[in-house]
Order: sequence, then structure tokens, then C-alpha cells
Amino acid sequence: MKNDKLLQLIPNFHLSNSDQKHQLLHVYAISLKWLLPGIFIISLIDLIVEIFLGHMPFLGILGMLLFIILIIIALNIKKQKRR
Amino acid sequence: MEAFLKMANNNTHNLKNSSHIHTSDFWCAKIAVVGLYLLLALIYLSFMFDVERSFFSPFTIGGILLVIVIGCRMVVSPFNVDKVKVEVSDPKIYRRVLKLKFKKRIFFLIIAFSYMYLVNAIVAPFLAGNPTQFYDFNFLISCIPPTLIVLLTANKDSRIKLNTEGTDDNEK
Repeated sequence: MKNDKLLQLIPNFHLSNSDQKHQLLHVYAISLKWLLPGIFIISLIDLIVEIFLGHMPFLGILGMLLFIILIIIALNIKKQKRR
Repeated sequence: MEAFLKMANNNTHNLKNSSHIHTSDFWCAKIAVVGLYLLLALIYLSFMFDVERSFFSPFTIGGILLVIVIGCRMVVSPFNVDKVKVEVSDPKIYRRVLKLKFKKRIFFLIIAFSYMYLVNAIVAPFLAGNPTQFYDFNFLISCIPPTLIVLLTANKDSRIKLNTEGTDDNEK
């Protein structure tokens, strides 16, 4: 956990205690509930509106790809824990 | 209000004592951090793409609203850490920590500005269909003052403090 470089992206993470690290991890884990449905709704609305107006929806496709990749990783981790 | 405070206290109590919450929070926090940074990058790309084709897409509006909502929830939540302060008594360790902070900031700045320049000059005009605006160096000139400000202020961090009570020499 200490040598993980992805968690160093969290601000104030490497300067805090172990209890504060647990609190910061919990705050970011709660935000995942709002992040995944938010990305899905935004990209779906973008796809519908831009196809209706006749544009090419590049950003809607990229947002849906991001949503699919994140949700596949999350579901794989859930499956590995149940076994 | 009292019930809310009781709930918060119970949650923090369970969080500190239990170990199984940490293993689930670890992966969720990793995914959330990577997703947030990629979402910010996509919002910047969509903003520049909208500027090129003169259209206000729902992706920028929704993305900015989503980032504001998540940031406010993080700040207001009872698990958030208020202030982080580190007091160092040894000046050698103090300089070493400041060097580490400087390296981290320079690494992040190089990645962020190279991404912004690539999006501004190459990706957004190519997607919008008018690739005549390649290599617009005005953005590179506008990047110089913020980089200078960051380079000059990167050596000072208010979270890390040098404690000189035990020693006789009070150096400033």
C-alpha cells in the first residue's frame, strides 16, 4: 500500500497518518457511486443530442468507452472477492 | 442534527477499528482517482472541441456539473481530513521532502501542459475538420508565466514546517 504510485495521485495522501489515509480512501471510494452513473448519463445525453443534430459524437463515444472500462474493472474485482 | 452526528461518529468508529473496509476501499479509491483524472482530461478535450466548431455540447455542461457535485460532496463529507501539517526538526530531512515535492510537481506539470498543447494544436482542429491551424504557438507563449510562477513558488510548502525549538540556532 505504501509503495503504490496510483494512490499518490490523491492530494494530501503521502503527508497524512494511517487513520487519515483510511479516511481519505473512504471519501474517494464513496465518490465512485456518483462518478460511474454520472459519466453514463452525460455520455448518453451527448450521444442522443449530437446524433439528432447531425454531428459526429466523438466525446460521447469516448465517455462511453471510459464508463465501460471502469465498470469492467470494478465488476472483475467484485467477482474475485466472492470466490 | 444529533442523529446525523451520531451516525458520523459510529461510522468513523467502525472505520478505524475494522480492517475489512480498508481492502474494499483500496480498489474503489484507485478506480475513482483514475476515473476523475480521465474525466477532467475528457472535459478539457470537449471544451476545446466546442470552441473549434462553435457549439455548446451537453458533455461539457454535464461534466462541469458532475465535477462540482463530486467535489462538494468530498469537502462536506464527515470523513474528510481538515488540515494536514508535518513538523520536521532536522533541516536535512526538510530539504529532502521539499525536493520530492518539487520533482512531483514538475512531473505533473510536464504531462498536463503537453496534453493541453497537443489537444489545442492538433487533436481538436483535426476532429472539428479544419486542420489548417496546426502548430499554433500562441498557447506555448501563454504557458510560460504560470510555469514561471510555479517554479518560483514550488520550493515553499505551507504544510511542511521546520521546527527549531530544540536547537539554539534559529535560522530563517
